[in-house]
Amino acid sequence: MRKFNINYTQKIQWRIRVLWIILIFMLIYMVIVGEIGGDSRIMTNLAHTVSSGIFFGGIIYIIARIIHNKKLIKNRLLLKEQLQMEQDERNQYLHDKSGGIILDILLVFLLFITVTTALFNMSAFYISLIILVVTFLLKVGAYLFYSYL
Amino acid sequence: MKTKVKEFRIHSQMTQQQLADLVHVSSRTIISIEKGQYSPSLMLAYRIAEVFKVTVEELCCLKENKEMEDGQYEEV
Repeated sequence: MRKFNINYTQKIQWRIRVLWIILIFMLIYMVIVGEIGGDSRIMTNLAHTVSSGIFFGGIIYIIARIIHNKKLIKNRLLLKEQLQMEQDERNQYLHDKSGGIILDILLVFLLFITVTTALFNMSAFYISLIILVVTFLLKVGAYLFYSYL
Repeated sequence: MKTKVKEFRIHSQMTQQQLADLVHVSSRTIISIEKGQYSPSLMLAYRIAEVFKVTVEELCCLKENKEMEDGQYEEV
């Protein structure tokens, strides 16, 4: 049991490192966009709101996850609760039924594409946004369906 | 899948949370199993059976569930 707990702790530590790397990449992306960025004259209010919301919301979310994961490492009880929640087989079943890790990765890509297209091409942005919203609704719908089936 | 988890749990005077903690799942999973909304994996069924000191066959009403499934095939 002790060895298993240590392995999970290492997993959390790796998550923190990955989150920091993602945060750094997002900041680099922000600098690049600032330099070569799109034309704000063609950007609609919706595109501006959505892209800002996704980007800065994403940064806040990542910082919150880093803080949360650091708390887990310091508190054994919280760590155990988190482990139990992640390994809960029903949660894993629902996650798999609602698209699994593949859909999660697809959603992240769609978020990135939506933010980027908002800077350059409104037609592409609207198509990307529709696909993003539909994908998200499908995931949530599938999760709720199998949850109450 | 029908199970006797609720029956054994109440007989043992245990809450759903207590049972969940013993078998390393969330209380929501125990609730779903008791309602028949979720079928436990073999390992989880074995863990729960160990808690109540019964067999997996008895806990999961395997004979009854098999007869029910066989009935569905016969109807078709």
